[in-house]
Amino acid sequence: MKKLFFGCIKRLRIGILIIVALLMVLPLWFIITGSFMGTGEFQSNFQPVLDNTTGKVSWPLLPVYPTLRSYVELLLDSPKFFVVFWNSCKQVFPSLLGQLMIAVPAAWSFARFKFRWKKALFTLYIILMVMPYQVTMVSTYLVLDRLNILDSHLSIILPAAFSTFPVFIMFKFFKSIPESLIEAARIDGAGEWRIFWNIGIPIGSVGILSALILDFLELWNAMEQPLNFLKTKSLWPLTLYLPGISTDKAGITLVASVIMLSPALLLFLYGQKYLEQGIMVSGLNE
Amino acid sequence: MIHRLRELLHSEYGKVLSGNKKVKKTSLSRVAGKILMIFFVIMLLFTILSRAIESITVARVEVDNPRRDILTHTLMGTGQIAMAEEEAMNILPDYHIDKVYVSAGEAVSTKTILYQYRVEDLQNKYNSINNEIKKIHNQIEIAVDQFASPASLLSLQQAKDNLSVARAKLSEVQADYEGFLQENKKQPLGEKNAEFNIDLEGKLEAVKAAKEAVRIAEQAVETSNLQYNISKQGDTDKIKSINKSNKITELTIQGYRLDLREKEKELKNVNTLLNTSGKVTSPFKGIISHISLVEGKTTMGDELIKIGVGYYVLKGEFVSKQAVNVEIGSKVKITIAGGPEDKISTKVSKLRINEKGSPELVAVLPSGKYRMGEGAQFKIMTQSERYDQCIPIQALHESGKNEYYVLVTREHEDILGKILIATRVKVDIIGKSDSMVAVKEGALSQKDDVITDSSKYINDGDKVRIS
Amino acid sequence: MNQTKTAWAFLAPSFLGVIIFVLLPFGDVFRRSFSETITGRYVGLDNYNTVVHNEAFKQAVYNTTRFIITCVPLLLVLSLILSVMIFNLGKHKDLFKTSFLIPMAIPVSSAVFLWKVVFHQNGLLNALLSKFGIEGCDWLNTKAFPVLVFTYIWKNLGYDMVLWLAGLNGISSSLYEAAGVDGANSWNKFWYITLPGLFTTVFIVTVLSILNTFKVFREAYLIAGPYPSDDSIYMLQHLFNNWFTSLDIQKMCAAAIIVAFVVVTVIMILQQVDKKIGGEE
Repeated sequence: MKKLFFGCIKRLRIGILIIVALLMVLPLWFIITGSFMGTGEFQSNFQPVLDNTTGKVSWPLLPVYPTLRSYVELLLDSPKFFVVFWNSCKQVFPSLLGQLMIAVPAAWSFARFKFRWKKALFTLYIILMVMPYQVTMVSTYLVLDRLNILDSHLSIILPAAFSTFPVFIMFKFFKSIPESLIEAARIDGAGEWRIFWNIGIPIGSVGILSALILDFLELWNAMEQPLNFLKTKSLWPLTLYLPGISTDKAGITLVASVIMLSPALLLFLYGQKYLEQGIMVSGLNE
Repeated sequence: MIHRLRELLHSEYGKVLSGNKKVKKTSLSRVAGKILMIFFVIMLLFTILSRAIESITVARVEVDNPRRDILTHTLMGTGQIAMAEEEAMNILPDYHIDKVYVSAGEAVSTKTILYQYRVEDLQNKYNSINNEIKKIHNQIEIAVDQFASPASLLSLQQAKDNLSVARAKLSEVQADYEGFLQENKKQPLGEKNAEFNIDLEGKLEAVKAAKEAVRIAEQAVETSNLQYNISKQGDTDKIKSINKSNKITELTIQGYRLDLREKEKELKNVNTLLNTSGKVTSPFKGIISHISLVEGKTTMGDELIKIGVGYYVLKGEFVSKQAVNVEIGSKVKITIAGGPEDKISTKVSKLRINEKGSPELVAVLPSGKYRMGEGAQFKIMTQSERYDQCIPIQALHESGKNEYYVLVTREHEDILGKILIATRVKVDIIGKSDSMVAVKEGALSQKDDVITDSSKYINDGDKVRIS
Repeated sequence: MNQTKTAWAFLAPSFLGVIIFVLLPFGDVFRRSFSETITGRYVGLDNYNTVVHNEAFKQAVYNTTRFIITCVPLLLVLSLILSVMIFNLGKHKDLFKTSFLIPMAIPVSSAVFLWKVVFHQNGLLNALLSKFGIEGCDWLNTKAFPVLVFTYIWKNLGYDMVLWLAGLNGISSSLYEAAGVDGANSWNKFWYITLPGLFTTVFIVTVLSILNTFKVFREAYLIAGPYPSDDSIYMLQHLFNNWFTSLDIQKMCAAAIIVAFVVVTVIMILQQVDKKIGGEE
């Protein structure tokens, strides 16, 4: 009896998990398959929503007439789309690079050294990490204005590069490196930089990568900063461009969505392990 | 030291890895990683591809804005250099041209000898004219005699007397004529020369004149008779008819007198010619524009010598449709074929229809050396009024009969930015020149970019970009 | 002692950036919150007064708080249940984990269109409901709050789940074994071992979840614009954004200080509680 009961619960459990998992994944499926809809099908399916006419929308699991037409239209006929795409890239990758160069040493410092105000400083970093963007929005804007980098890619890159979030994540990883290893190296006469470079980074690479992936997802999604700091539409990244597609060009909406989510999704699949590590680590306390 | 470090590293690394930080790369993640790389490469590729496609497919156009302008019309044509006036010379008919000294195009002055008549002819002419003059004199005399004035009425008797005198004269002259003939009959035929003919003719004329005189005398008698009767009866009608016949006589006399004058004139001319031994000099200074005398031929009287006098002009034919706003005073620019490079600037002095029926303009050339008949090109640029909206003529397209349109670039907000679409706009033409067209206001604005040229054929609705 | 120098050397770039981009300007913001718009005259707490009595601010605070209080516990519970289910699964663990984390990887902008279509008056949800005879409504315009809650949970379920998993990992399995021997059933195990063991995790998860609620602004903004027709989703972020667009600097500064103050306080409190619990343990 017990076994049966457990068996039922187990099935139920799996059932629920499957349903939830489907719920999670279904939107992705819809987006990807929807991108293969031809204009006609797209219009007829979504017209009730697009034009606010009566009738119900339909979104078939698979398009009835799959076509690459929207892909052609977006990828081949609209060179301006790529401007937006590379804008996102121009904003995200330099930010990540900046974070690498700035946050990694900082995390190392917090993790391995003792110094005055360390606790206070670290608490400050946590506060900053948690603080919603809107609070520092004004101050950041003023600084950027003074530096005259408003309305340029730098206005996004610089603040992002100094983010304290990766510091936090990497801190945990660096912390876990056995002290004995470091000591041994010190005895051997290795300088701090050497230790950092040859031991810290390789071993902590998991942490670095997880921070990078988490940050990539965050930056790739960034909306508030470009909205506020970039006036010229030609500098806008994908996040701002995508929702602005009007009804007559709606056919390429989904294709653009697919394009936008591809690097994020691919990166996620590639580095899921790192991602999980990163999330986990941020959850564990000292 | 580094070596040891590395060893340490490897061992510790292994330890750490085997700890709870297992990061195994699943095949999914490997694939995902590869695809990620490829993804960015593909995006790069498509970026380039789409740009390439756009540069090929999207037409590049040149645009212009409509602006206020004055339409200039150009009238071009070719003409000939001629003289302002042309004088024609009278050629006497029935003369033999011995020699022609000039040809068309030659400049002549009042001293230049143009041609030469045969002197003998002139002489003969002189004589005959003389005779004629004499004849006329006779006739006049006779006619005068025959006047019947109502006031001084010739008595019937007197008229009868005159008649018999006239008759007597007639017989006299006839006798003279007969006698002349008789005389000359003795001479051989071959030697009948001109003089003889002239004399003979003279005699015949005399006879004719005498006969005429008789007739007039007879008439006079009749008139007198009538008048006599009338004066007896006092009939006004009859008086009128008498007056009428008097008038006729008077007119006849006048006619004679006119003839006389002409003949005298002609005589004078011939005399002059004789004095110059038949050579005719040009009465004008100018350039022979036309001479149709032929040496050795006898003139008919319809030959022409035309001499262009005055200043040089350009005479050019044109098509009146093209000559918009051309008027007297319009500036003309002339290039002479084979002449100096510089264009001659002058003004139109005359507009008319020439002998051929085509419109022709005349422009005075500034003083200088020119060659008659030389070809030249003229160009007149006239300006119309100021129009508010003018566009280059290349921008104009025809859509039907007298319906025109232009293509204007209009901005469309695409989510990807602004794109330009060629849009058709109907226009009404209110003025046209060779290079510009004036359109009626309302269709276009000053800010509109009108497409004047495109790298390839474009239609309404095509995407374009401004090169 | 030598360490200090090296420590600072490593920390320098980051800290410099923090000073320049955060601390100094924040100080400036602090100063500005006490001064008048144009003249810069010191006006004391005037701005704060204005802000606190501002209708929009009150509404935003109300909505934001409401949202957090609604969502976070809901999310925590749901994700906890899921994580417990997965934790013991073993076989397809990874597959499920991946699928749960996918929503995190999908950029907001990509999903926005989808949400629009689903929650529109004529959208998919209503279409589905009508099949069951239930009449739908204009979710986006009238029931925007639940919609946003849904998108928030959808996106962060996986994230929180992983956090819980980490926490669960931290509980040593020997405890479970011992309890099993003692005759405890699953529910007991859960109530007496799992939950207490997760205490420490709870705070972090809570903090991070709250952090993520702020990001919901993105979905809200992209779907409904800066002034959503459904008031209930008008949150602090909207307020800030709109004030920013209208260059209401003074008000923004005061509001920013207020919010910052609240956030710092909350964190401090949490830290203290965390310490205490950790100490008790």
